[in-house]
Amino acid sequence: MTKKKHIGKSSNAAGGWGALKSVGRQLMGSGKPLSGAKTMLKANQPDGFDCPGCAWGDPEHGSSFEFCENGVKAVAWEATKARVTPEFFAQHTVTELRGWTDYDLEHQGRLTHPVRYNPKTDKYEKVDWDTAFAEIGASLNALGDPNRAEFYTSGRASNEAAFLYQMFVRLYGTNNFPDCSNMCHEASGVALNESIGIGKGTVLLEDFEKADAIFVVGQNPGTNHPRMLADLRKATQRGARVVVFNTLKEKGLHRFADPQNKLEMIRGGSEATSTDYYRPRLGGDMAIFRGMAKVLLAADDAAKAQGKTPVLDHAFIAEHAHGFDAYRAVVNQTSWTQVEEQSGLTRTQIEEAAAIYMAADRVITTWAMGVTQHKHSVPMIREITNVMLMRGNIGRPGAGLCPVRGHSNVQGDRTVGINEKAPAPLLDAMERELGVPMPRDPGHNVLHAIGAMLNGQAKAFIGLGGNFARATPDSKLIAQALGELDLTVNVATKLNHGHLLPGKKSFILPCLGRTEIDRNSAGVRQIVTVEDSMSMVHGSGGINLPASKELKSEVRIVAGIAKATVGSDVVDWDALAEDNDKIRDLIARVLPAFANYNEAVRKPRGFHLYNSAAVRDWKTPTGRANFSATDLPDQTEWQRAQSDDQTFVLQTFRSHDQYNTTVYGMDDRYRGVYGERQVVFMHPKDVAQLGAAAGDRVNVVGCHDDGIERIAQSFRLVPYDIPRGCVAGYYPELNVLVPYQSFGDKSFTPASKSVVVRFELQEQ
Amino acid sequence: MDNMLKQTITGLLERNPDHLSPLAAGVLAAAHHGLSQDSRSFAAMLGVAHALVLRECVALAEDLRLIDLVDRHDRSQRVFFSLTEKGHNILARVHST
Repeated sequence: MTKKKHIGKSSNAAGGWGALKSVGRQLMGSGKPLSGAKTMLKANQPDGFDCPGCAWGDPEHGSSFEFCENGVKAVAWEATKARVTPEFFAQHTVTELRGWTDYDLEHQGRLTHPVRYNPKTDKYEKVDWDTAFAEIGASLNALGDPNRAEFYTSGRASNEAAFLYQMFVRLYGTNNFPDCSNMCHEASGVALNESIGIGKGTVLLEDFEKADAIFVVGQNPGTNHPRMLADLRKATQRGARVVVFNTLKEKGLHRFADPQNKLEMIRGGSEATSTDYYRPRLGGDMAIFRGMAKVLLAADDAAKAQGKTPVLDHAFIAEHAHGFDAYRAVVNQTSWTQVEEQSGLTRTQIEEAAAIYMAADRVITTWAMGVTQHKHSVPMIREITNVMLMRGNIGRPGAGLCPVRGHSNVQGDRTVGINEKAPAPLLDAMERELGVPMPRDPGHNVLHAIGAMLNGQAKAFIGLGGNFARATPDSKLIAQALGELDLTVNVATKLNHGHLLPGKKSFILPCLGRTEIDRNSAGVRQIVTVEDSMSMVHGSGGINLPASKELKSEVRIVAGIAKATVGSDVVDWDALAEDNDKIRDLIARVLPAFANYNEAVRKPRGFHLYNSAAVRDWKTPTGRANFSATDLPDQTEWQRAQSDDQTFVLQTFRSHDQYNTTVYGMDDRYRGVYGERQVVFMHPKDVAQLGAAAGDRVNVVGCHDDGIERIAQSFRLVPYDIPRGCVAGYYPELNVLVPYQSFGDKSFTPASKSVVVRFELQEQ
Repeated sequence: MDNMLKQTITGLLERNPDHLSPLAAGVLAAAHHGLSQDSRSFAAMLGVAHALVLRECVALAEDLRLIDLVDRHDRSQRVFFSLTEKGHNILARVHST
């Protein structure tokens, strides 16, 4: 739609003019001294604006959106002038719209009115809010068993909306909370809870200024959280080592031109974002860290024999850690042959990386989906933690663990109770506050919810944001399952494919975006709060007028459904919907970490939630940080795929013009792909071995052995610098190949980075 | 210029304590003195977050009708503004004392 399809030259450094073109003309200040006026204006600005573009920390809290491509795209995406009105729906049947692409659907613009599906006309039709709430409430109450409803949450939802939502759902009687974190960082939460007693990262943004080395594992910040590049760049500039383990060469992890640096922009310069770049095989990161552990142990033994300073932090291990001897044994049992085979790196390369680690007094390790979406992701993250524990690199300035989240409040939603296995203290506190029992049985995560839909147990789906149908694995199966439900409800800002799979009764409820000014019925502006990847909680108020006068905030929509479903005997939903401060007061009473919430969040940058591991307070059953003595997997999917020369292991990822399932544009300029999304990146020798040529079209066929045929039709081969046997392509297009029964052990995260596939050449 | 701007901001706030925030007064004062007529250059010049200026511009235009938003840059969200007659009047009263 935007331009002609072609595979061409990729952009040079990340950021730079390409990014600035997204931003507009360069800022030129007047240069006049205005210090007095500046002081006056900086005072008394209690609420900021939280960029919805990603979950990276924001030191400025208000301006960064315009200097970051993700921020610009996210804000402009909500501010579009295009509208999806009831007239639009009158012109198009749902069946017709199902034939449109994700890109075309979302580019129709902002939803303006609540609509209800009419199966007789196959169209959505305008409905008033009260009727929608009443019918949704009646349908939910008609299910008989609350566990037959699934309540999905997108990471866009604010703390206030998410807290209200979980309170409503638990009063309704279930813990069925499939949410987007189930599909991304669940493995981080599980692993870190086991290892250090808290399911979050331990660092602050300031720690990146103090680290001597930063290890970046399985993530592509240039596309997914561009503001991180500025912090990596600052680190390399002051001499810190930034070591990357990433399967593909990604521009942003090489160089970054800072759009805020005027001189650099004019001169066309850029600076390095990494010092050392290694490209492991898919699923090979656990083996890398195991190899590093072997190097560390050997170096420590040698230092001890020679009477030199130990390599390991024995004092830390003795005082704070548990299980080190068992871990040492399992590391010693692991062979270098296995490490090299699984990682795809040579022993020499791993020794180089380990030498950097050992030479650094303070180390941060960050990671994202490249680590979390494998079958063995939980042991992989625990192995990363093991290596960090060996030198006491957790719980001191400039050092720690940093799982980098995707959606801007995915971490906050979990903190305030969106959790199918909520911790007992939260449920106890809810019961004390509300005076009624909370359901205690574990509910459904995303994969359990899919299973319940497929086997007919689930009968209703409520989506607080997101695009469940396209974000989930096995998207064809999910589409069939959603259509069989009694009730589907989607709270959304724009139209997507998830809305076009209506159940017997179906509603689309349009909500305000975070960029829009939210006023209560008295006209008083409301702020919401979100938590970033560093556990900082910020306030955020809208900056633009709402796209339609009919829109309601997510808080008001949740309260409306709740009131119609469970009534107001226990909770005065109307009062809470009128005043987000009251919701925050309620949160503060239930969650002690949010004490003085309303006051704290109105301070510049907000406040930091207490992080026990960051102060070496280990909330684990042993009372210490736990080493994990786990063998490497017998085989990774890459090794399995090597059993014949026709199978490969596939990872799905985002293009540069994409944010989760939202496709802003058709280009992936850092990888040289323009105007097209149906592509597969493959090593040139693998392309030749298939008997194909660059640009040839192939069908990608899933090899999961469950009798279900999974094919992604007509994808173009793009030769790329990627390890042999590994291939990559975009979701959601390739989600049809990800089996929903293929997931991470303990985490239930879809194994979207380890999908075994083969290729069928199309007639060219 | 700094003193003039401060005086105008102070005057606006003294006369309109319930309606204007310091930032909103700053936007009006900058427009009045010809320092800035768009949100982004104002934010850069005064060292405040652009998002916060955008929010004040929307309020000044939609709630108080003191400025008109005459254009918007889609990508940066920069809004261009001019004082309305009501806006000019309120500033004239500040400078008449």
